[in-house]
Amino acid sequence: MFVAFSKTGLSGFGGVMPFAYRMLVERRRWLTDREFAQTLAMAQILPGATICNLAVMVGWRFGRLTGAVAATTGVIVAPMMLVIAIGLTYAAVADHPAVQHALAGMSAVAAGLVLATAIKMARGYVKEERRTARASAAMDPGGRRLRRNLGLAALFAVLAFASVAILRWPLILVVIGLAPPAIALSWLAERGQTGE
Amino acid sequence: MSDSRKDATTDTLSSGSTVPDVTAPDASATGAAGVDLPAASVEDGATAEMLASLFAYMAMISLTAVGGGVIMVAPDMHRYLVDVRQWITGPEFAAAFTIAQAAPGPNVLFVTLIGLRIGGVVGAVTATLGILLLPFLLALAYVRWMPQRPAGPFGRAFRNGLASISIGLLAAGGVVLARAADTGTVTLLMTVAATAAIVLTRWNPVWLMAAGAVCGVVLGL
Repeated sequence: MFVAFSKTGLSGFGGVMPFAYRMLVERRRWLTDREFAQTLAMAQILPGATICNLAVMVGWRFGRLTGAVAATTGVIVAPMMLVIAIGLTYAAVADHPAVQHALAGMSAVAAGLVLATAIKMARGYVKEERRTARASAAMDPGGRRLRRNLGLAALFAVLAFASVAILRWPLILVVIGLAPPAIALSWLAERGQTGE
Repeated sequence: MSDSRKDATTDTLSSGSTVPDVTAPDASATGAAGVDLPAASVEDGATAEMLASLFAYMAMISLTAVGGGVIMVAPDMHRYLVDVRQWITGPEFAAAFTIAQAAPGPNVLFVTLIGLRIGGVVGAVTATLGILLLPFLLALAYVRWMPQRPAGPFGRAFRNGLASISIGLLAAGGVVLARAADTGTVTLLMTVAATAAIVLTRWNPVWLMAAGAVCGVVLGL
């Protein structure tokens, strides 16, 4: 398990998750498609790096504590040593103009990658809500609930964005302040949706 | 190697030639004025206190990285490490993030590079352990005591509520990084182009990063 997760960690250029999927589902068949999706969803909700949470959950399933430790250290230790080596190399050549130019160009792209991920997540969220709404279309004539749910999500997304990017409040206060009302309000919306 | 660097730093600090020692009496004389001084102007080493608070900060911030990934804690790390503590500069922060994105491995390792810049290899390991330890224990506790995922209306409400906040935080992370990286019209256009390419196509991000590097060298950014 350590070796398998080490390989996954080292092969993941620009995100490890596609490689984790290939290893766990397609190559070693430790998980089915559906099990992977469920484990991934939970790994995303838990705080911390998604891939590490996934490693803990898969490792635990097959080897309890030993498995969890083996999988997590596997996915972190070798890539960490590699990135330290890259960092030290970079520090040695950082003053070279070509390196600075290349890094300036890459930084501009990297910011775009993060923005794009946010846009894709928002797109996926809207899609998911639409699908749920279609499944229970009879209970939501005119799509009022769908619009309300999406408006609610947009409101909290904008509040979270503004308080961190514009007001520059500490993240921990933003999460503590916004998460409970966000969960409570979508819980109320859910109850409405299921007809209670 | 890191040992000698640490010794050098300790020497500089204890010789009293750096900012904190000189200004400390002034600050106490003028009341609370000393608060906004940089906690340490250490260039390439870290004291035990720095490492301890680096670990504590990473451990605390790791718990707020809910909903998929640690990228969304980047703005807060920028606020704390660059603005409040002034342990690293804005460009150094952006460089650490970019290198971690370009290198193989989980993106959480940008924390390793930030630690490396602040306190050498010891700092790198300290920061990485800090960001990983509590989520690891929490995930263990979860699989140990709650093996089934939260289903039903409450599970959905929980996921949806957190997901909306995550999207906002992720966008904030992108804006903070863009503010640091986009120094002119060309870099701004590159960020916009990269965003559009990822949203609209299935191109591999690695090639976009490589293209960014080439553009940077050719255009002399």
